[in-house]
Amino acid sequence: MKEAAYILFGAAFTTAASFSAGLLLLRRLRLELYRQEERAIAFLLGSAILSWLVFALAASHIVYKGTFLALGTVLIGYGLRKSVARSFPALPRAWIWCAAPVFLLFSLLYICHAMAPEMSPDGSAYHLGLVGRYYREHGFPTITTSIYASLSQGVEMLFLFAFAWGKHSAAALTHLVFLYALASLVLSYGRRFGFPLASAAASAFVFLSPVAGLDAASAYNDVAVAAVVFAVYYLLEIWDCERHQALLPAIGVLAGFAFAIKYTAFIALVYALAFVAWKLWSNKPVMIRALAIVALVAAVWISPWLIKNAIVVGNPVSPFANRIFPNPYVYVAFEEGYREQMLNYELLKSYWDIPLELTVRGQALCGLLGPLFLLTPIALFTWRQKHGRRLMLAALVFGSIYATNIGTRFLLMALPPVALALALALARLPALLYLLVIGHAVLSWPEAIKLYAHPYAWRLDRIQWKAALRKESEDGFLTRKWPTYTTARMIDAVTPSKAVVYSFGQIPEAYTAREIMVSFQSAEGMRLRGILWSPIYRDMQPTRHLHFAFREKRTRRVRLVQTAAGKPDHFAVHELRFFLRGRELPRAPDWRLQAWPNPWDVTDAFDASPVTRWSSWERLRPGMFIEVDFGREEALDRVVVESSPETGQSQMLVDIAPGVKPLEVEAPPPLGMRREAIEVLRSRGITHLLVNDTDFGGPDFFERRNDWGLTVLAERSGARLYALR
Amino acid sequence: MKACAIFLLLLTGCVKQDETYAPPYQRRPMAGPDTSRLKHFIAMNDPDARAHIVRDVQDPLQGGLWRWTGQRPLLRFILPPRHGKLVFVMDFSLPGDVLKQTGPLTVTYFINTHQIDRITYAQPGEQHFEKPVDPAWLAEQDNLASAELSGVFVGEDGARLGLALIRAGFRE
Repeated sequence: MKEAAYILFGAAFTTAASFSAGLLLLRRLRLELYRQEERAIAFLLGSAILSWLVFALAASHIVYKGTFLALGTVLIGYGLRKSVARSFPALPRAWIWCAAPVFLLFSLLYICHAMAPEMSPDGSAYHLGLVGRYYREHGFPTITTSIYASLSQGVEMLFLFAFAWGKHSAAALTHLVFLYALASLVLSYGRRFGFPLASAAASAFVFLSPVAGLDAASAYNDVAVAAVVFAVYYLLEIWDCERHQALLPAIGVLAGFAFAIKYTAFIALVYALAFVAWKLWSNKPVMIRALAIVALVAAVWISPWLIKNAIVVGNPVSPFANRIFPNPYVYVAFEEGYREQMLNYELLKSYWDIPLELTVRGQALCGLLGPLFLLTPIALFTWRQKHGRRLMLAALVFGSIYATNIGTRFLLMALPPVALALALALARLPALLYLLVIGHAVLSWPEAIKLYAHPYAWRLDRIQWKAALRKESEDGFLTRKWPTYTTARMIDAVTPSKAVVYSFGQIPEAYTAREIMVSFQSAEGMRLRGILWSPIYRDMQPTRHLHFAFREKRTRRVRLVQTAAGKPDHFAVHELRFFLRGRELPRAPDWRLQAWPNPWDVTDAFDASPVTRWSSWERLRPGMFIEVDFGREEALDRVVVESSPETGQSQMLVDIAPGVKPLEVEAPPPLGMRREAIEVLRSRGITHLLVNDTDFGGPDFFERRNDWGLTVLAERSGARLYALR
Repeated sequence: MKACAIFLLLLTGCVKQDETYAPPYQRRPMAGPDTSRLKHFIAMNDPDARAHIVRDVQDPLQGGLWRWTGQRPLLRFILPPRHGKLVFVMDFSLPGDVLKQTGPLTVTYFINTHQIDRITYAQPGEQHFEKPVDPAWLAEQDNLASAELSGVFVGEDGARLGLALIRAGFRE
């Protein structure tokens, strides 16, 4: 029970601090909103402010309970006042009687889930994994080995504030507050613009949607961003009616905060700027001033994340745009693969299945909106109404980011306008709206979802009140429900505090205090994965040797140039060697090595290790090269390129003998590669290796652990933890 | 002003492309035997193949792939300091003309001075020999592998031809 109290305090303190900060800003801007709007808008604006302040504390490395307590107390002390705003007219009593029990029942479900130990895949892996690390290290450490540390983390800053008191579940509960803010705003929208019953129904459509409930009750950020983006839309609509200049900074705050939560929510700022420009097009000076206010205020929330990335990883929008901002931390190949993966979910057989997957099945795209949303085309009937058109346009614009990731939760930004447009289309049939809300509620209840959705649909479970109140311990609950959790705990149990664990797959980092390097989350992780795979995977071994033999030449520098185009392989070189009369030129300290692209890894082609290699990490393009400047003239008669069959589509020439065709020899796989791979890992700071039985080469690591130089430290749930000898 | 700020921000992500590096620590130092020429396994079409031949393997390379052996071919290999359990591998071809003259051909394989196996081949065509090696037979670096043939083809010009050797050496 004590833990439950801390969880509630953490979330309540964060919410109260946010709300108070928002009230302060609203008062400062002298904005007059209805009381119901004021609550939601104040919370969202205040979340932006609190998030920004926590970022500043983390950047200053003063993340402590004491600083958070002081900050929260000041915000609440200065901000919290009794509202004097007027209320909307009351909703019909029948509606309240219809909605209240449903609202309470689902609230119980959501709150219990949020308070229960956090076990969402991404929440426990990186949203809270990073938060936990920031808290332990009292600020932002320099992280270059996780792409997730480079994404904007506006909501994670709020999680950090809540985490200090109530740990993981307080963070999830904080996220849940955004669902209430969102539902409240959707409800207020129609009350302000003249269709209260429709917006009440729309609010229920959003609040009860299974994926919205599950996402909100987890330490994710999709519902938070949906709430903030909808608030941008909402304030723009009020501004359109009232033309109150003070709304513009508030719009800027929220549009900037949307980006600070999720890169893709940049679309909210684009929408806001386009909307303001459209409305003020006839008066250019006023338009420019209005646009400047929105953009500059938004920049205050956007720029900290860009600057942090520019400093830490040399790319302000890391892990994207790596061709524009080349850097050693994220490969172009990763970015391309990531984009492709986000558009091709493994379990989705055809794009034609998307509508049913999104609404009914819920497995292939990870979650379902609910069968109600099969009625979405009805929303088109609102096209003749002003708000219908605006809502549809907003849904299209905010939904456009779905083209970057087809997971269900990536439609949440478009869900509020879609729900409103759908309800608006049926506004003349109130009885039908009641029925739809009841039907949607029934079909969204976990027990009912089981009856029609895929058995493995991502959905909420029953009400977990024992776990929520910690009548069942967090450890006991997670051990019983979630085998992967035990892997994280195993790592903490058997490794020293400075251990660096390399893992092929993602693990719940939120439950371990050790540094975990996941194979696919950074350039370094991918390099090390190649090193570990090369002893097992024949095509990655340096068995493709190209001998360029020519008449003895004296030269100061040699460039190996890749000439093939339009092939999917990468250009990779394990070793580049130079010979004169059969003897290799010893590598001298005054040699200067250079490569393009990916100049940073060039030394891997000159370290005399069969497991490391330089790779372009980009598809083949003519002109890619490796160059050596010997520092003085050297005589050569042969250049040998040791490469692998995996990169067999690459073609090369040596610039000092451009007409020479290479003799291609199939060399044997080098000996001792396993041991060498582990030694290279050790030299790069890795102390432990986590391998699942299902990982590529998993059995080999165990069966040939002596060849590798590995000692099994512990084994749990199909995962073995090895110490590097 | 804004454009200037954006420009400066973009510059922070720019990276010099002409970065150069010195060669790193050599994982397998070149001191001692020149392992870049002598290997643990050699294909007969490798430009370094001749460095591995101690005795009774002939020049030139035939068909860009193989070399004739005599009756007692002997090859030299270098092993790296650390390796797993090894097998000795030899790929060769037995020409029909050789077998016609010699009858079934018995090949005795040796690693250093230890006999590893003895096999009689009665059919012509490509052959693959592979056998685990007792680690106690192996020296730290330099190792010899040889084969003894029960007979050879003797041509009209007096040439003594045994196997068409394609590749040989150690594998894990």
